[in-house]
Amino acid sequence: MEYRATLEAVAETVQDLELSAPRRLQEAMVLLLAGKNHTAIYIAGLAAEMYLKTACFFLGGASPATRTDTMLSPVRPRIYSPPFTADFESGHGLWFWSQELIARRKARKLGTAPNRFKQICATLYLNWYIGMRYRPGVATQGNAERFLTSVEWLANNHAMLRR
Amino acid sequence: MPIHERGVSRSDVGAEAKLRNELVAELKKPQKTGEPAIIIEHPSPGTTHLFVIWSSWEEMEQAVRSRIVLDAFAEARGQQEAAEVTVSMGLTQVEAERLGIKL
Repeated sequence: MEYRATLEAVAETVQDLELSAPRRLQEAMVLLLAGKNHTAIYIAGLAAEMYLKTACFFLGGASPATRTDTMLSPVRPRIYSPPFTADFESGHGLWFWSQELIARRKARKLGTAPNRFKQICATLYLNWYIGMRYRPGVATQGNAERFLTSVEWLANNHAMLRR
Repeated sequence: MPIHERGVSRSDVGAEAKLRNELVAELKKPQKTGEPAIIIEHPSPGTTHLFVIWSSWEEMEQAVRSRIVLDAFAEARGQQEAAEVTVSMGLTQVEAERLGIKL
């Protein structure tokens, strides 16, 4: 069986994203060590997207085996507060998902997200967008290190963000 | 012939209940060898990933396996620990190897 067919043989679930996020982050670290700064940022950004999405999904009542399409279908692009206009980016926008997470926490009357989270969200938004894969890349090692550190923060604080 | 099905829900009867009960027993009193193999990972604070490698999963869909693993863990360890579970996968040996899950 070809690889795409293998992957698509079973529906994508929340736990697929949960398992993929640390793997992508680890792969981004390997790329960083190899000096592939642009691609390290791109791959780490995909991990960030998954961390933000799964936090939103669990706040929305998902269990590990919940299909992601059932969690995504009610999500709609919305305009969130400044400093950045919400950028849905076909469902990949890191600012969008960070603001969706803040909104869901507020709706469930959970504690406000720490200021560090807001700083992390800004760093993520200012350094990553889904279309960057079409650019040859001019990122410095410093750009990549700073970005990966921000994604690591999401990984290490995922439990706090989802409850 | 009449059907006699008992239990508070469908998951309390039949093959699903049998596997869950076996898994609860294993979680409470692990055997030194044999199946199922249970892997409990904590990739970050407050997060738990569960993998149960077991030939008994054959021909059972992943969503059902996941529910059995999560239910058994909740019964054996309590709801508070179960709330930290974000991955609960039941895998055969071949599936585990393909997914890179190692003992």
